[in-house]
Amino acid sequence: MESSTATVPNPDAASRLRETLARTKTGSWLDPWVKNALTGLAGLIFVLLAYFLIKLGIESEPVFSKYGFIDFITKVDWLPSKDTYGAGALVAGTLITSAIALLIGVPIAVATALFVTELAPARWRGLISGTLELLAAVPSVVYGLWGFLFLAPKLKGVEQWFADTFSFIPFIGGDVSAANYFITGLILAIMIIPIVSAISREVMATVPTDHKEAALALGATRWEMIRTAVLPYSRAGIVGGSMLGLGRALGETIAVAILIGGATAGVGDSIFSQGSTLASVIALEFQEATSSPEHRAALIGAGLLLFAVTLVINAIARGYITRAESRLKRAERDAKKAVAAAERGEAPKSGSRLSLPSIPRPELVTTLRGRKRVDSIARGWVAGLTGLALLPLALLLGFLVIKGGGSISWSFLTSDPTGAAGAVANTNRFLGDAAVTAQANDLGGIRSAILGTLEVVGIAAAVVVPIGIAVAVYLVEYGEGTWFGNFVRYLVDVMTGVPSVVFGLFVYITLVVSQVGGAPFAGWKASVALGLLMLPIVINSALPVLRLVPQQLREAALALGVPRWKVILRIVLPTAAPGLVTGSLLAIARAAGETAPIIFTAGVATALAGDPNGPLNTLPAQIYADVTASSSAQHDRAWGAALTLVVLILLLSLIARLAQRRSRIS
Amino acid sequence: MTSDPAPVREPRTTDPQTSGGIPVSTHDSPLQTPATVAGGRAPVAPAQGSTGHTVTLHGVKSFYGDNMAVKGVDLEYRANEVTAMIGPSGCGKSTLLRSINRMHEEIPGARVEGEILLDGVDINAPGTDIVAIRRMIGMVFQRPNPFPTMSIRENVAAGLKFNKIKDVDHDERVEWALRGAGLWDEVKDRLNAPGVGLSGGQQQRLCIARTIAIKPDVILMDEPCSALDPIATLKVEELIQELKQDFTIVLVTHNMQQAARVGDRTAFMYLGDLVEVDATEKIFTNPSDPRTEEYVSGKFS
Repeated sequence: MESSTATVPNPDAASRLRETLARTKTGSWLDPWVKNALTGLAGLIFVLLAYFLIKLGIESEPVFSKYGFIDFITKVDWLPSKDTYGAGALVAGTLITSAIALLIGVPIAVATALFVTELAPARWRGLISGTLELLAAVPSVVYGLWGFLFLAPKLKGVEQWFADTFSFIPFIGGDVSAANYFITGLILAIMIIPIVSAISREVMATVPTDHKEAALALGATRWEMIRTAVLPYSRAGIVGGSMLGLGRALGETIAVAILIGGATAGVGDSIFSQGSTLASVIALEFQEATSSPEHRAALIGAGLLLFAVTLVINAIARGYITRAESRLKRAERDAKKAVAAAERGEAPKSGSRLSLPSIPRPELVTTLRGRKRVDSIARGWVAGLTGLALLPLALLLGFLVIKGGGSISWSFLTSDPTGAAGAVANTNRFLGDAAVTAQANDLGGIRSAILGTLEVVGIAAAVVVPIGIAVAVYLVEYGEGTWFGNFVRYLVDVMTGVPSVVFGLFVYITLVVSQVGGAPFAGWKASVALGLLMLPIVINSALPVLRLVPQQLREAALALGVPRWKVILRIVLPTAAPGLVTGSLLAIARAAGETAPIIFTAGVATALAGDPNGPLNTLPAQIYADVTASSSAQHDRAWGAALTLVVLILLLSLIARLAQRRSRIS
Repeated sequence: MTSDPAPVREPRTTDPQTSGGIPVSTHDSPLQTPATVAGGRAPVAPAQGSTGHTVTLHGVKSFYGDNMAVKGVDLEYRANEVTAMIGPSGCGKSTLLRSINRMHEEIPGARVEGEILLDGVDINAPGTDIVAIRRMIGMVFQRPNPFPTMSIRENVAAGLKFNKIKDVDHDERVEWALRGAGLWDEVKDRLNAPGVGLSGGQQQRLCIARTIAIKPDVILMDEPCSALDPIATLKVEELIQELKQDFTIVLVTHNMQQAARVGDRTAFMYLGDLVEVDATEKIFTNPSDPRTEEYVSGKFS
């Protein structure tokens, strides 16, 4: 019907259009290049991870071929002096300490989250969650410091009493060692409370008010409402958060190395005996292992094992969360179907009962008075556990401020460490040799440590933040829905689960042992290790921010005749900028507190050394060196350095939060 | 041909006519140009005004993967006319619209078959710069989408800036476009305020200003009033009537009254097919297809 009335385009118009099209320079020729470059960067993740695994595999091969996999993980004779390496005791130590951490930490963390979201007066909520967030920023070496210098000695008596009184319970009893599984697990529990609590709080905040009000409107008490509406809805998130906590506990190195004692042969017969974990043994023995290839292979095998365990735990956590989510979705779909069927006048099929997620079912069996008593008891427990969570945290912060503040002075910040904590003594301490007693009173300050930390972290951030954001841009703008994009996302998740000590070990065997660049230990090698650690964090924090940039904005720009690369550069990135800054700063803050990867790679130098191609002192290394020394002057310096480090990290977090406020997309 | 002494297509790089408001169009008397078309089809018919630009569709099919959403549409959008596209949800009218400036293929797995001719030039021809095509064929979206990081002025000038059009005075062009979009008087005192601070209707007119600022040949509008209140809708409709003097406009709408108010011609689509296209009055009073009749009389939607 159209052809009869169709007008014919003016041929002049056509040629003019062709001419204009030919003349118009759009810059779209860059599009495929940008896409390929970003894809290449994403592919780099694969190359990196593959090389990482192959390298660890090859280096640990001797020990696996000598003992076989089963023997290696079950035999409990890790005796470097006799050159026998069965990692069973380490595996057991890892599992025992992590289990203790979960048993103590998760209930407390969940109670804290419940208290903050449901029970606490509005005024307290910000305070409590703020304190917990503050504690998430405290690096593990500081927890180790506090546990070693304060908690372990203070609790020894209590532990001994407990062990004597309850010695009929298996694995409890005997002589309590100052460093033991239990105290390690306890510190790990304190360390994972902030993260488990934060994730639980996030999911509990998403429980629909409808569900809660429905329960309350039916006459449920607060506790009944929590049990019927809040807990079922947030179960998946709580499990996920606990798994993340578990992952952190499994891979935790420095605090454990300080607290667990270091016995490697045989599993202790009580939770109050000394032991070792996979991570702690790597940190304590890596340097003496340079002289024995088999010892080194065994340590790398331990690292590989640790990596495998973390990988499995993370996979289980992810699987559980996905299943829980799909179950919720399935229930909602079934409910909708049933409603639709009812509208059509069909009777609901027996067996497919209407199963809305968490229909509140307050208990009707007890009397009101009984129910009220249960309610107040439960609420009391929740509040009490929250107090219990805040107590050690408050103690830790108090110690940090008082002890650290006491040792900080202008000269402390502006002079280099000297005296007994000189280079040789420190290095020996890492080797696990006899402690060198400090004599000199004037130990100097921590100038070189502060500058070294800034240098190492700065180099890592300068290289890794752009790469990480670029990979995230690839994943969101080009990789969504493609197999390669999904594959890279999976690899990033795997990388997130790699314990930092394993990255340290990896850089140690690839760059330090082979003396790349002339010197064995170098600041830039620590930057590499921290960069590996930061990369997945940067990517994962950038992904949701980039996804939040509305698709409409991209379309609007594309429809204006803007090539895709320019849309990314001028629209997507500026819109996402505040969120990207926040995520990157938090990643940097996290890296700044890492200890294990640094002592493996930067070594320890006490004098001020600006050259990243040589050994550099850093705050975490300084703390670690000082805390394991026996002089109280060095302990004081450790506190001062710890306070400085925490303040540094908090500053970064603060800037990150301020950047978040500027965000234009919610 | 290349040395046309009096180019009627305004080169994209000349100064805008800034005499205030919409530039005066120069095609009061339609030039009757007999012409032949390359490509074998030679239906000889008079061309529309020579400043206007036509879009002709021949057998256009749009796919999402294997799913054909538009099933072969032949249609001509005439120069300086508003062609309204109506039809029930899912009939393919938005998909067809997005095919015309090649936005459709931004969706993974989506593709277009058939010929889409802008002034007789196939925009899907191999080697055609997709980005250049989009500069010729602008688009206004369902929801207002000003760039949140930019001020009102920057929003309007975004196309000029991104495309590095330097020989145009940006401030003049911004004023011209804002006047063209009927927004100038409301925002002239706060051009540096963020664009997202405007009301919904103002935001949509800002987006229209952003679209016309690069002077495209054709403007595609995808339900531009669906997120607006009645008063804002009225303003945008008046604006569309004015804009057709300078642009060829395709308007997808869910609202039949709107099609009746602003469409010179109306096309009715159903299940991916073009059922009927005709003068708007005819479509709404005396359609030739019974399905059109049923739809415009509200028997189904």
